Amino acid sequence: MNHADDSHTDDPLIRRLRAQHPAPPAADLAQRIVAHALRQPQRQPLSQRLHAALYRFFGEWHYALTFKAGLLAGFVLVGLVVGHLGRGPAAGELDPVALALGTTAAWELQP
Amino acid sequence: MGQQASDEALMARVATGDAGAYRLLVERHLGRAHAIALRVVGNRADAEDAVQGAFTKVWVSAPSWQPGRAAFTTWLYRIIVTTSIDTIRRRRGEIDADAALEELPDEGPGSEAQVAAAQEAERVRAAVAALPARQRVAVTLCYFEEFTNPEAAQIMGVHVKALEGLLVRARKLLRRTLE
Repeated sequence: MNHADDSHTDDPLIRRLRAQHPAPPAADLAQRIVAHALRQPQRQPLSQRLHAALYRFFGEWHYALTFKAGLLAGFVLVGLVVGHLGRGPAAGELDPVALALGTTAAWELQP
Repeated sequence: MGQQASDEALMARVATGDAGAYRLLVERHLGRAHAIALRVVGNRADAEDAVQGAFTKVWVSAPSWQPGRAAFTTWLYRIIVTTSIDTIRRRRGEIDADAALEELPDEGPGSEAQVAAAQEAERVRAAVAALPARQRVAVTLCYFEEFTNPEAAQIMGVHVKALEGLLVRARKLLRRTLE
């Protein structure tokens, strides 16, 4: 990666620019960079992080327990609603959600 | 393995947390990385910050780095350029008089030739520093660091034609300033 295009090498402006050399880095800069970087944790690829997270989620029952309980409750609710909408109440059959709501409403109306 | 190992081989070791391989990579590329950052940001303190940030990103992201996607040097210099431009944008508007003074040549005792050389260096530095950031990066990569146009375009993430346009505008501005 060291050979520039030859199209402008005869240009006095570019020769003038190339005559200027930048100051070298401080003698201890490499040491400082290495010391600073090694204090940072390395970031694993997304696939590995995802795999580790899934492994932990399913492998350790107490990990993210609140989230798991919420997820389960959500699935149950979705299941009930989808089941209700898909089937529709048969004649003479009480819908469990309506039954629950009706029971609650009836209980709340009691003096 | 060691000084002769390719960048890609060293990166494979860095990905496993090998500090020795990382140190070799830093020592191998620090000179050029620092030169690019110094030309782009214009002062030593910011250049050191930019280079440190870029090499830290190399360490942190090493496990995710995929050798087939691009050459290590292209990836590294792209990080250097991006970090340097971020540094300029962060510092834009701040008047860093101390840093600017630090970069001025010492005009103490010295021959006339030394004084003239120092003044010429300062003129060129100021002219390059006055360029818009992307033009400055293009000039730094193509004229100071002597990358080919396709290499520089790849580092900057632009088409070669776009890079050539940046260089044309930069040369025009530099001629106006320096001549």
